[in-house]
Amino acid sequence: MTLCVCDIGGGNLGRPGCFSIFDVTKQIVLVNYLKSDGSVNGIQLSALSSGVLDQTYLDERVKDVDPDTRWYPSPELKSVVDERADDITEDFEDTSSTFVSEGARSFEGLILKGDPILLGNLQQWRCLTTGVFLVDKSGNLIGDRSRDGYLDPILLQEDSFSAGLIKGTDTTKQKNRVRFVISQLMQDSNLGMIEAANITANLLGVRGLIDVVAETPTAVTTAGFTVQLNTTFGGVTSPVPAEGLELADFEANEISPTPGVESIASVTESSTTPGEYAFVWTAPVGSGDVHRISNPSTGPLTKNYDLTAFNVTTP
Amino acid sequence: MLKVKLDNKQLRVGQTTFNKESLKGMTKTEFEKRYSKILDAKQTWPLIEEYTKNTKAEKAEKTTK
Repeated sequence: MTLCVCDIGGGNLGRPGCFSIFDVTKQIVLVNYLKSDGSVNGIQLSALSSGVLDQTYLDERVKDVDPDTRWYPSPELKSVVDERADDITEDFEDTSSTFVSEGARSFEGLILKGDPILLGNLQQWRCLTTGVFLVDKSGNLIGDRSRDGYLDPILLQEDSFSAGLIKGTDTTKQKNRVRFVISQLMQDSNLGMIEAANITANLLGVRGLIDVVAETPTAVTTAGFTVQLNTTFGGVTSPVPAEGLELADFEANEISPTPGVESIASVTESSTTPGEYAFVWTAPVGSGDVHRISNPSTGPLTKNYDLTAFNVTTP
Repeated sequence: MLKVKLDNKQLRVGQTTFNKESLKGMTKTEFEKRYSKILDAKQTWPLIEEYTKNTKAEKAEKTTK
């Protein structure tokens, strides 16, 4: 913590007449703090088009095919508490005290209509080195500006992330609770933002991806197969189907016996059974071949769905 | 009436998205054989044929240039 810079002296205390300040947080955007190359998973400001965070940039981040660099925006948060605990001081017998360090900054917010599926997905962040961007009520994107040329995510204290399910009562609705502590390596004086005026993307209200899983493929022949794709939400016997997917949302690879890309000729969504898709291969595949169907390997994804790869074995 | 949407790589006709490459050179008989169980092949084929003509026209244009 660099609170004392003795060779410079005190900082100037003037302010311009007009400038923006942070508003109350309405959404958090969770990210893996570090990329696979070890660098911070931040926003390179020179990569923004004319300094503007546009829809193309936002889509590339939120619908990134690489989970390590993807942004994971939360639903809207209610009753947000984002405050730093009192300073830690040492008290003396003469009743004076001296500053030791700042207290920890903790964050808590509630997600309305929270449910166990979302809870499970939130809990997966507990073990990761997690960063967070904050989206405030005015649409500003808030992060850590301590690195030149970047707005980085705010680092969370290891293992501080906690999520819970608050069940409804006669007078309240069911919610998810999100709670975490900001790393002591982060300083409030380094918080910065891309102002809403420089964000043309629909950031406030942006939705994260929804997990999609496949049931066991049926009608599997050398010509193609049919599969039911559902989100992980809904009842155990009535999952919410993943509707609106098309050819460009899938990639097929033969994994056995001859690994390589397999061309899909068409994908047809059933008009009677929501979430049921018929796949046709461009050329007949071999009997005994095993294919893996997944998200496309190059992004961004075109829909808000993240397909869990599944295998199809041709009899 | 089926809705048609065409982009660089795929052609969407109604509920089906086709890989444009996979349609090249396909005959009506082949199409009906392949898709009769999945979609209304008779209703869809005229649109596919129209698309195929377009690609042929594009090809001819490129050759001329």
